[in-house]
Amino acid sequence: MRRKIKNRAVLFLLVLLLGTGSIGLVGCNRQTDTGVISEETSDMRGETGSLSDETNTNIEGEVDDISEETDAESTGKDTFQIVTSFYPLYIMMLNIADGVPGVELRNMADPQTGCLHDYQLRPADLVSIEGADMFLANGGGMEDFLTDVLEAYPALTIVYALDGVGEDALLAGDEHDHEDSEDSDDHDYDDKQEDINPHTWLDPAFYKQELVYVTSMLGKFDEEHAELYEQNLAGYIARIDALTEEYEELAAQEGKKGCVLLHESFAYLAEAYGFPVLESVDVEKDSGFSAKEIRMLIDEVAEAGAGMILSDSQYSGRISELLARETGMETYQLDAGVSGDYEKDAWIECMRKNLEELKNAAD
Amino acid sequence: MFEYEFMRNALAAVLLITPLFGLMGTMIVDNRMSFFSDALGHSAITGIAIGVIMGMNHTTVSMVVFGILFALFLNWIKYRGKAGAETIISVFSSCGLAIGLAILSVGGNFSKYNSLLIGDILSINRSELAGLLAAFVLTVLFWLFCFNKLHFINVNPSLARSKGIPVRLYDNLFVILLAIIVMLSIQWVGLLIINALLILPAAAARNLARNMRSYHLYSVLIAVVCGIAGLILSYYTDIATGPMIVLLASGVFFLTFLKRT
Repeated sequence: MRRKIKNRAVLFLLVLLLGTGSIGLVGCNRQTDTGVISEETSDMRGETGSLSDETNTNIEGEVDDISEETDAESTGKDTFQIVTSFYPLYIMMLNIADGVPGVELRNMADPQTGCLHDYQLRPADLVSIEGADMFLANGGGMEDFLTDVLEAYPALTIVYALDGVGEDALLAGDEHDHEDSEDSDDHDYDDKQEDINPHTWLDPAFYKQELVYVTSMLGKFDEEHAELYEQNLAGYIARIDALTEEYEELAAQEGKKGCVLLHESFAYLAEAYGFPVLESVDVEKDSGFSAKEIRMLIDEVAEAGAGMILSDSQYSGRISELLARETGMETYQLDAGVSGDYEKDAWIECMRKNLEELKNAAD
Repeated sequence: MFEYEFMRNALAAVLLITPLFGLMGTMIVDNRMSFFSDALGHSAITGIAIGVIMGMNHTTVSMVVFGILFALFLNWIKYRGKAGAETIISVFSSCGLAIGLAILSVGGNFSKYNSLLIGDILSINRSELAGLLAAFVLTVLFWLFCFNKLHFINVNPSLARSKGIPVRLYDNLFVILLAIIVMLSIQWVGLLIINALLILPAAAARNLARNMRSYHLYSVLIAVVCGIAGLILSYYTDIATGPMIVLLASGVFFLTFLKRT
């Protein structure tokens, strides 16, 4: 009996201890939290502009305010932090911001993700966004995975690369059955994400327009180094132009076959260099097909007429091989430029590879 | 329907895989090894992950090697532990799955391996069918030469041992074969449902059969019929082939279950 009481007493003490411990911990957290917040607010008071004015869409109207703010912010950390949403934009930034002192560049979605729509955010991504002076996104529904996050950071400065391209020049897109299309943020493109094809970085001409736009934006936010950005841009564009000349030769070639696209991303390339697009079917998966779906795919491709199949090299290629076997068409794999190593020349190399593949296809 | 080459290839794959599963299933069900084969299936993902890390082009090799080692290891543990073998197997099954997922998700590119989960039988090509044919021949030979001894061990291990049958050796041979079959077919059947295909036909046949011979016959028949019917139904509906086959096999199981009770 006594032992039982003793046991209970020990148990009670233990529970008490754990309870107070956890309450203490929570209390500590709260204290540090408020500590940080009060620091932030005092920081904000010290600044000239008010952060709440800095909404993402009104960037151009408030350029001066923001640059002051970012200056004020950067006095604390001495760096200009740029975060890009995914790989092609990161490569873009690597070139524009190359060698510019104080620029810190980060990318969110790893370049091995495959379809960006499948991307799952990691804690490290939120840490990056938290400290960003500028966030470079593509727009046009590419960043579905960020919609909620961006809403949580209304003060974040976002630049959309697609803003550099005239809206009328954009191609219509296939409809994506991705879920979050309803609750998108208030940016123009997101309302129309069903309608446009956002893969503009695959057309050298559009890519250049985006480069110019992004560089001008960078110059506004980081005035001190605007000239350096411009210099980098000029160098990069010269190299792109050299590549574009080779592409023009391809465009001039006559009698090219029509193509069936297994991913809408290549519509820009095909369109720009004279490969008639017979059909664009969206095959966004490698497996989980029913035989009926496969049959319908085969029929769709076969009905499109004599031509070739252009598929995306980030998928396993099993479906394109199957379609090629069934329809007797040749299949060519293009690189959508969304995966690879973090190297400055990645875009140029990817587009050179695509050029070679398209030349083979045209012969 | 069979004017499409992919349907002919898929049919050939079904005709090779399902009888194998029907045969192996009888032994798995009798041996109470359903957990074991499930764990094997789950470990396939670690096998692939190891292959990817080592930069292999064909991860099948790393899968088969890892599967065999994993199966032998599980068997060893089963013999060492006196009770709770299924708990240990379940622990290793979860471990195998988690390690694989962890490795593959490092680059965030897990979406590339989705086909491993659901299976990809419709895109199988001729050269890949050869691998399945090899597994088929291997299994039939093994069954012809070893079934009686395996069955003896199954019925009474001590008696078998006293008659001079190397119990551990046969047991290990069986799990090695199981590992090979599971690893060779998992890409086509899918990790999530491979075990259902192994267990269901045999479980249904057990409800019907009166002796060992009819047990095998029913099991193979149910597997093959469900396989072909599943493929054909998937041709006319929007349901993926693997799940369709499993649904049919489950239906057959419940029918036989009713007959038995």
